[in-house]
Amino acid sequence: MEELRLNADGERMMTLASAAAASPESLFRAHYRSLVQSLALISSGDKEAAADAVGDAFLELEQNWDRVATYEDPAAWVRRVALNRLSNQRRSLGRRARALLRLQSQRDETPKTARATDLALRNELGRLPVKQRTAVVLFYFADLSVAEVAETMGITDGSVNQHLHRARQALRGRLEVDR
Amino acid sequence: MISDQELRAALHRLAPDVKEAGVWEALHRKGGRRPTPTALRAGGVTKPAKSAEPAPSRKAPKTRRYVGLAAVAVIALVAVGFGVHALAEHRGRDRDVVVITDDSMSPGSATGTAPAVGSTPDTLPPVQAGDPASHRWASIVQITDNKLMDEVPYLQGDLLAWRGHDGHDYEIVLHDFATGATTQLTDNEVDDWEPKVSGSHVAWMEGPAGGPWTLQLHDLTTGATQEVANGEVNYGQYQLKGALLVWPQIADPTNNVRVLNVSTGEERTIVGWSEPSHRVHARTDGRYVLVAIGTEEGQGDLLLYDAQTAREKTIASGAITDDWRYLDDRRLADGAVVWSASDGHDEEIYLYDIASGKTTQLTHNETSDTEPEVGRGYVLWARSESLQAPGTESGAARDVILYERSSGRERLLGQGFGRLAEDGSLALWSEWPQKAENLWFYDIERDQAAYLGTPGSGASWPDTVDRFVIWYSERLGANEPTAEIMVATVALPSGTTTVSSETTIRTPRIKASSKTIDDVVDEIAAWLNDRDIDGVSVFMPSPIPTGWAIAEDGAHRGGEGGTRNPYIWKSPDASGQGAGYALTFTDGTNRLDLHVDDTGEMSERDWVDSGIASAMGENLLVLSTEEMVVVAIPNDRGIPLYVVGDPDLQEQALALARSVSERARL
Repeated sequence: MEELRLNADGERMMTLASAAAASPESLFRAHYRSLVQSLALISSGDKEAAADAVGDAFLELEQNWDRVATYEDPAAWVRRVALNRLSNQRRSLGRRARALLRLQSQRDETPKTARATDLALRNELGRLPVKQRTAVVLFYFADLSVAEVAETMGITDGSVNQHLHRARQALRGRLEVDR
Repeated sequence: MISDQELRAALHRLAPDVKEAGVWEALHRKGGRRPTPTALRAGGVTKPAKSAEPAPSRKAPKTRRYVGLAAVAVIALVAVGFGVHALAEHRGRDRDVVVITDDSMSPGSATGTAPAVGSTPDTLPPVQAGDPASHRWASIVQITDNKLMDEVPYLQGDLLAWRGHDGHDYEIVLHDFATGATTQLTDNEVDDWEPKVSGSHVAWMEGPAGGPWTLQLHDLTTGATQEVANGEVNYGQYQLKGALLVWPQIADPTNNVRVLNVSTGEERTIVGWSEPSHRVHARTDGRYVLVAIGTEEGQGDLLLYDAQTAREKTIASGAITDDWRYLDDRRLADGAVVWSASDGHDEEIYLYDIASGKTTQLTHNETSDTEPEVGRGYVLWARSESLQAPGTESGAARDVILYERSSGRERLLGQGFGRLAEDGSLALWSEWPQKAENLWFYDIERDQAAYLGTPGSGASWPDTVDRFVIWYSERLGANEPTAEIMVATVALPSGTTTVSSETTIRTPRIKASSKTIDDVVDEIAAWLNDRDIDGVSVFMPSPIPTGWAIAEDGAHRGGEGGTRNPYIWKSPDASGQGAGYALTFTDGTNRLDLHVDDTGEMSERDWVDSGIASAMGENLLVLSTEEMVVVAIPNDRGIPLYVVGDPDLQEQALALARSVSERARL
């Protein structure tokens, strides 16, 4: 499908929708694992919540495939939906469930490859405001560009840079003290 | 110092292992959401009615708003006898103010009709919660407004305690409604968590996120704070009620449950355990202490200790599969203990009457009944599809059930998370999941239910004490989240406590026309100059391609837009979506929905972020030409302008908006 878009300079350009040849299942195969991992890191290790959010996002993708397939980057759409699902879970859970999440996070599901300094990082990551944490994970773990992080989080590039800057300051400051 | 490369590598090492095999197939087996168990049983669900399109509201300029609302607060609070005065500044924190929100309050609709034909003899008809109406009969008081995190309020008598972030870590803050004084009880370099109040004592946990935590006890009469736990305490697993402070203590020297009489200083050890995997929790009503000792296999014991006689009794043993991580303060109240346990098929509710020593099974069904709470004369719990049913997923729809002990009849309140007041006066429930967290309440004595409001995006689990409702409302702002403490009074219209407050709900300015760019900018300037602002920032989303126009069919996602565009709605809307502002653009074939929410962001989204109703529409400017739309939504950091349209026009608008901003700063 052809669609009309503007490039960064505001010039008109015709592009072929990149997803035309893709399918929900191929997107799932390509992105599910890394997306769950990203959301698990964002939610302080709650892999189950992350998997629920990502699973729901892919179900929505399939239900809305006719429309989403015309988007330039359907995977970005899935990321946004999954992130919003996770955010809503967090908001809706409330105090009791947050306490539960904290308890769950105490369970030792640390990957065997993790080092002692990684655990300190994990703790400090968990203390970051959620937007900072989200930006850090999407940028450093999911390897998204600033623009892609901005699109996923529904914020501006400048806000992403601000979140990353503040997060780096906080992480470095705290970890430096700990070392 | 950690480098970017090290950070990247560490995150990859920390990422959990995720298996993809079979998930895609499982997702397809799962399919869509199922109706709630009560709906399945009764053939339909009666949900609280929702307003199709409540009028959006606007607030006055911030400074004037606070002044005006402070005046309203005085009137309102005198009227309800709430006793809140201006809050004093407290050490190390921003100045707090008292704000009455303009959330719409409404009376409940008449209830108590005869049971519907076909209903089971022991089940009352579902509670009918009324629509929000113009009659205002209750108030929400925002206790804090300091742009930091104020969370987990705990109300007892005139004392309201919470944890508040001071920019470095969480401290314990106490507000006395009787005197209007706010005091910061801690001022240290470590986090302080989850305060609880009883009489002249305040207890809280202290320690870094993730633990270990100690337990602190503060005496308001002497001002002294002491560390009472000689070892670690599990997160949130303590209770202060009456003169008793109870907590399970981990190690040093042994694992045991401690009971401290905060009045006499007498401390006892009542239960010990050695198996580290055992989950031990303790709760008290001020006389009795309930101790749950559970294993990962869902087996365990419930012990009841009488602090007056120092006698201990096992009241249940075996399968107590209830998730005791949720052990609530209200498992023990009104002379009864309630719990959930498996009957071999699914979870049922049990009640132990302390006076008679008898245990009664309250439910016998094919659903999973869990998380009970007991208040005077009533028990409330969550009902969901059997967790044992094939294909059942976690997070299935939850009915909130209220059970009357005297009659043995139960009643469906709604769907979501429920809460029961200890005095049996009120029950709350907030909708779940994926929706704006609309909060409803049921006045048990008056048999009336009503919509209380939307606690706000990211709102906490509300609680109800002495006919007050408390919660904290988290706002995910553009840069940092904030959370504020909220207290609502519940006053029914038939009483004498009706609040007479000036309405602040106004119709936003929506002008879709063929104005020129200069007209629009003039309006922006006039609009901004009419307000007390600190600055203007400008945000440009992706430009709308030339040739695209605002859709005329008005059928944005949700289908309730009628023929109008732009379209504004405020939760709860008829489509069940959240709240926001939407512009639908089209080139005749393709369409693009732009949504604005109160976080100060505008984006192309498939669905609208939920839980933003409280802030949306309060102060919104929308101006449009044939080529451009300008949206302004003030937030705490200024007034971002969202300019959508032809890139050239955007540049003009930006330049002029900056001029306006400069003028405003001057």
